[in-house]
Amino acid sequence: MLARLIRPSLAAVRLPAMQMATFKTIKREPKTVNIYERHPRRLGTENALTHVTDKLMKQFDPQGVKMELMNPKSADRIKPGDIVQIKTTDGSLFTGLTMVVDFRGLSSNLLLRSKITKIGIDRRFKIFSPTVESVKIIRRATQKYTAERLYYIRGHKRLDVGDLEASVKKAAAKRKKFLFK
Amino acid sequence: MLYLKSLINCIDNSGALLVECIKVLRKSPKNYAGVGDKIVCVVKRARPIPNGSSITQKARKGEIKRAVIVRTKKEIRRPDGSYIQFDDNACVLINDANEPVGNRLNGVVAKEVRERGFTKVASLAPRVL
Amino acid sequence: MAEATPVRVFSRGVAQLISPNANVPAAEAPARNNSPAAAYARKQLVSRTGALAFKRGMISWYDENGVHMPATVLEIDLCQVVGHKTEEKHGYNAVQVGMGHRNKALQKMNKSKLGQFSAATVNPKQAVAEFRIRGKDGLLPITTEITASHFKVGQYVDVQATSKGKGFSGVMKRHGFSGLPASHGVSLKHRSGGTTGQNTDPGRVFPGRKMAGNMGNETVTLKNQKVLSVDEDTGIVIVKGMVPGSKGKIVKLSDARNMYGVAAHDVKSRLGPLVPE
Repeated sequence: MLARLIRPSLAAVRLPAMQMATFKTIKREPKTVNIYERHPRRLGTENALTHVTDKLMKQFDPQGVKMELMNPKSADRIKPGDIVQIKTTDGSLFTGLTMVVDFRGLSSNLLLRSKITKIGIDRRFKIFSPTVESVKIIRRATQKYTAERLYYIRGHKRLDVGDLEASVKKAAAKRKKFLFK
Repeated sequence: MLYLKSLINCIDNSGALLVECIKVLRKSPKNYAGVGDKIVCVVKRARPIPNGSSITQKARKGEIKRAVIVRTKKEIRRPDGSYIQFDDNACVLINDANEPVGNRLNGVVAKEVRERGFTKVASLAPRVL
Repeated sequence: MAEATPVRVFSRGVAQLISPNANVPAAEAPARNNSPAAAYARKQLVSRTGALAFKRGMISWYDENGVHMPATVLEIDLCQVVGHKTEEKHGYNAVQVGMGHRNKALQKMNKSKLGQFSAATVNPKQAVAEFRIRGKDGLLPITTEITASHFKVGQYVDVQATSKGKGFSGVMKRHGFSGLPASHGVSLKHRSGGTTGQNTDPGRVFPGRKMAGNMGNETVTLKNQKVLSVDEDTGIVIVKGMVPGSKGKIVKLSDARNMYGVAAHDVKSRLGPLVPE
């Protein structure tokens, strides 16, 4: 209470105007934050992965033959059970019955089965590989299969393949003979 | 994937028909033999020799021989991404100079056999795939 | 310090005698190899910056000989230099690189971050990373765009990204333990790690013991990945092999640091075929 009583009133100690401190608050301009627009994406709205896949497919298959054969939406695609002949760049031919068709873009592949010298052989070819020169359907499936993947024909009494290379050759010779008659 | 105790067809005319692997050569003990690998094997079944015949067979039952694997059931991957697999495991008996003991082969052979240096074995085969 | 007394040398023929009182200047101390400067000299640093990229997925790649190999497609989308770190100010030289853009999350980005991009006069970036470099020659001007052609076909790069998270995993998945037997009295413990230590002595588990825990979601660096293809027009870089993390994630690409101890692009004379012109 005492302290309050002896405190001098502000009015009593008012200083002359000259001596009064003049506080001036500096008005800062608010920092402007510019948000710059981005340049458009180089690929536009295209998916980078499909762009690369399409480009490489066109490079390896300019005529689009392989693309048509390995297109799951196409009616002319290779189906399980078809007999397919594949020619590779080293000049070798392989004829086999299609057991599996894998649609996997650039690594799309076929599993072919045949018998040579009475030994069953399964070969899996990556169709878009530059080592695969040509793919040809020799004969469409002659019967209906119950599955998409025909692993079960291996060693089957009725369904397993024979020497397809020889039978294809034989059929070609027969046709030739018939035509020349 | 052939290792100790594997039974392998022998496809040459040495007389052996079925051999059993007793050692995979130049591979770590945990590893297995594939096409083009050498093995030591025992002839388990051989072509019978008729009594009194003068034919001398190169391999008889119970003999220990060396052989090279030429076909496997396990698929082989090629550098171009393709695979090949056969319906059986097969081998050809060879001597110390990597030459076949027999002089005729019956059946296809994987081309890895030639690439691994067994050119004489590959040249005897009716077909190299 | 007192002035060194001159060295008195008495010589007769080949023999020499130095006066015992002479203040022989000490031989120069060998350079310390544990100093910060020595550590910096030892550090494997490349002389130019790397780039950031998006992982877009994997494809099959066939080289000119028809050899098949797996490859990863990476996309460099608007990768720009957004800042520098210098030796004088920060203690090391580095290039700050930003990539991508932020549209929907722009409101969430705080003002200080936006201010940095504003000062650099670039658009707000999705990701920013630093690439330490040796020397100042590699400090590219701010806003310089780093395109796919920054890398050369045939060169080797280091790829750094965050791996896929596998969550809290057991020891069999996380460390490749064998687990316990399926039978012989083992019950409900088939995937256990077994014992973690000894007995009363030491009475504790030693630090570093491999146990179950969070797996993945950590920074993984793959060294010396080969660049198979570069396309500046689309910003696509194709790298041989796999890259850590899932699709759409940010990947750090830089010149291979461990290629014979020096950056691949720095050793053109030694490793000519590795770095085509």
